[in-house]
Amino acid sequence: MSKRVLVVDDSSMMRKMIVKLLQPPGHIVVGQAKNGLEAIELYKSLQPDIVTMDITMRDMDGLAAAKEILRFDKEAHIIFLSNLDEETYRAEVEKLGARGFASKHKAREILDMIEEEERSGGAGS
Amino acid sequence: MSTLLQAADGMSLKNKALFFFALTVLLTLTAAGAVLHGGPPAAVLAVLTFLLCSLAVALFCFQLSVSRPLADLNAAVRNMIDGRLDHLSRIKRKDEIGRLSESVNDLAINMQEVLLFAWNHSQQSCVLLEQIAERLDTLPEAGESLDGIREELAHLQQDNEDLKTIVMSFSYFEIRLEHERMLAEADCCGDGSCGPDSACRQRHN
Repeated sequence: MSKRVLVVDDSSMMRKMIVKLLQPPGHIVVGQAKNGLEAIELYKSLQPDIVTMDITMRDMDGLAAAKEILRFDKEAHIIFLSNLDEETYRAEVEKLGARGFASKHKAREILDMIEEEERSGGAGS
Repeated sequence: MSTLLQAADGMSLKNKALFFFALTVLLTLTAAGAVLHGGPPAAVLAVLTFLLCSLAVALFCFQLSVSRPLADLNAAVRNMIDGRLDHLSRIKRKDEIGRLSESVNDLAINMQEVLLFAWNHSQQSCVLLEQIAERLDTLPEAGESLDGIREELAHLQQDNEDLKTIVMSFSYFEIRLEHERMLAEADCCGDGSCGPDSACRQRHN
């Protein structure tokens, strides 16, 4: 089933790559944000099923943005996509309430995580 | 007053230039009118003085709005050219120069992304190559037939190391590469092995 996804990353190139990755399985990218502030605004207006969130970004990082989004909507489905070392940051993002952590550079891992969200009956309709 | 300043700050450079051009034309026409109608010399002098002062203010504003920010932007770009991708432009304006500054930062972040992608993949390749080398070493002695493969593997490992060296010669925005891991700039490794210039060490000292 296709999901409505909000893509958040400060690199326009990475946003493009994630969009290209999500389209063939039929997911719909409803919005793109380049920092945490834009992510919060777009989440409130678009109410996506899933948010893919980078960690290090200008103006507001992904962790602060995720905290704010989860404060607004406890059921928000946020998947962190990052270059950072998974061992170091996975526990931190899960403690925050995010659904998972995947490497930005492993396309399969990102799709698997979204499919897992679908199977768990979590993200939206 | 603050509303006026905010409005001025948000005005594009093109509109600012048009405004000053219109003001200059108006003052010039006023001065010309005063001269042609044989107005009192004091009035003509006053208008001309006002005109000159306005042009001086316009020049000063040009220096503030255009020349200095462009010099700052050039300095930021030179930093990026020298591999310091953590030195992003700090110019935040709503006009053409602000948008140019944002575009330059976007370009630097994209470049950072490509380099970190390359580093990540060379890390993974290193691991695989080491595993292949170990497997080769456990094979029964096959003599010279495997020597060629070992040599090729050594070349690939060296190529990977060379790529990592290039990537590590850059400095990155809020990310550092340490001990084969990619960490956020402010985070410690936790084992006390951070470099002397790391942000966490500076915070703790």
